Amino acid sequence: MELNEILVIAMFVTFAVFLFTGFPVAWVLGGVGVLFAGIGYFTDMYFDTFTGLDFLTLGLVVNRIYKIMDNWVLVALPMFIFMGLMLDRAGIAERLMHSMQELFGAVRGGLAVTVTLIGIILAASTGIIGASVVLLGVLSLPAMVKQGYSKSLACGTVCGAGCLGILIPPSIMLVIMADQLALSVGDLFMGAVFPGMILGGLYVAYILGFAYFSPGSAPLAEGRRPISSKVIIEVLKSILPPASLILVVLGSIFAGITTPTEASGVGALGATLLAALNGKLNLTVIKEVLKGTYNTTAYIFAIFLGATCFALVLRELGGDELIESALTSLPFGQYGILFVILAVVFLLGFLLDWIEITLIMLPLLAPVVAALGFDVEGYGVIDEPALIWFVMLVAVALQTSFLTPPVGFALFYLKGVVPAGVSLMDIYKGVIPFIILQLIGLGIVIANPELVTWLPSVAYK
Amino acid sequence: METLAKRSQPRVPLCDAIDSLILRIGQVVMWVNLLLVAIIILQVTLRYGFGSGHPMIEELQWHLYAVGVMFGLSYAQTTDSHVRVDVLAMRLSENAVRRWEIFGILVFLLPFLWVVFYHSLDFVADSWRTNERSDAPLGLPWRWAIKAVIPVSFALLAAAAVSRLIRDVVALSRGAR
Repeated sequence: MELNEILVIAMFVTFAVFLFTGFPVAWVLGGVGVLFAGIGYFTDMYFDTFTGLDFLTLGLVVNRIYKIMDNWVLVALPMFIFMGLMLDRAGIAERLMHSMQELFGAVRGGLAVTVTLIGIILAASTGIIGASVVLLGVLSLPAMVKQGYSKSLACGTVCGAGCLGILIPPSIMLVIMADQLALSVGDLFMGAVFPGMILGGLYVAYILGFAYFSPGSAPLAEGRRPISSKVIIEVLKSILPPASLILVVLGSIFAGITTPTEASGVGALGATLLAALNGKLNLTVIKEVLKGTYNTTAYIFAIFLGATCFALVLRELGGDELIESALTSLPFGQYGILFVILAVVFLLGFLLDWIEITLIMLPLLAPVVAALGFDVEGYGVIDEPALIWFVMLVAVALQTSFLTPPVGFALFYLKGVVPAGVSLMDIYKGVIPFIILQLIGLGIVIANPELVTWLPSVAYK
Repeated sequence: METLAKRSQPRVPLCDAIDSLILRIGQVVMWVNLLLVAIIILQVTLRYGFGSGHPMIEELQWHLYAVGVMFGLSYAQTTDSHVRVDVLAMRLSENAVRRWEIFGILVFLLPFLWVVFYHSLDFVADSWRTNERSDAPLGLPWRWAIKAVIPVSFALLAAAAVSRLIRDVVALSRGAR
């Protein structure tokens, strides 16, 4: 094995080891990059490697940082984060929960279905797994436990619905993936619509079926009002504002009226108006939302900065070619290699949030997938249909990874907010059906790439 | 993840001063995102309402975004919000966590900051010397100003990191007494 290949592997190992010290991921990435630039410099001098790394080359990091600053696509990020935080503050989730609970109260499992639907509607919310799982958990777990739901069903529902947020547009993960792979944000948003709906549909079907066959685990609410037209109007009144906001944001991108960046700004304004409409807007709320946006955007971008340094050094060491040749030399055929890649993403999801995986791994994996030559129908209007399909597969695989015991992120976030009497075991048991549903969803999307590419192709005709 | 319990930090006058400066800067700079909303709405209105595009307004958007992002780095450092993988670190003793934090700041964070800071000075100086401006005829002048955000924000981030470093060292030495 060549020395520089050993360095590449050593670089990944060093990163992985020091990650567990609990030091911020962004700075481990940046620091390991600098460290290995130094090591490469010395092996060039004394061991005849040709990494070409030295202090001056490392200066390219500054140009790359500037490229991250000078970026139209990423401007959408703080805006979508602002929109999500403002929607949280607008009390939309509480109102939805309150009114939909009555509508679905007459159906077994209705409360869990409500939680799933809120998860889908609020997917626009920050798109950060932790935030949506915590929000849904705080909002709905006490109600479900009080109504006598089985704890594992309740926990599974919250985790499953909370993770949907990273896939369903307008998801900030898709914005970042589009930026990293030079794909169109609009294509990714539209490509995600059917996979997201399939997963949401599978969840709802499972919950209803489970509640039907095991009535004891999803009892009906006591003392519920009969469904009157008043209830339905209340539901419509609570669902219409957030739903129309999201439709306006997505619709204007899909129709090609606005760029995703413009739509994100419109969405931020819309969420602010909704908060005002609900009487929740005041200076304190604005300051809180701005503070949250400032902080959240910064910790996401810190990883951008660390990862750009890491990626620069990795490329100079020949890491890109090493990974490409390692994957393409696998004796499996195109679907076998795809499976290996998704398995790697799945395993990485145990350790890393989607931000790091998107920034470090995706740019390395995408050329390999592009070269595998999957015959994905692009209908003559989509650029890189195979990559768009691949991104959706990664997005679903990541969700599964966040749900999978023992170390999925969503589980730990939920553990932090569960009411007394719910154990980690309840959560573990509860998520298993949702993991299976996600794998089914993943299988459906793998077998039918048109589910991803058809909608974007129609929208741009 | 940001779930790592925020440990109580010892009070050190110098660190308190650094941290409160960074938090105060943050409370001013955080408004750029509201300004950004306004600018985007203005652009959309001008473009679709009056059919006119303004490169200056478009460029202002990424300038505002970049300022918010870069200055936020030190703020998130001070509020200890940067993403951590703490599955194992949660089980470490408080002193061990502090020692790893000191190690990380010295071995990973500060060298990285130094590299970026050092090279960004030349980057800004080049831009200043050529009086670089936007490529678009109607774009913004003073490209060096937005480039200067890199060294300034990294210096603030370094200050935040040093403040944390000192607090951890102080806490360890007090604990050892």
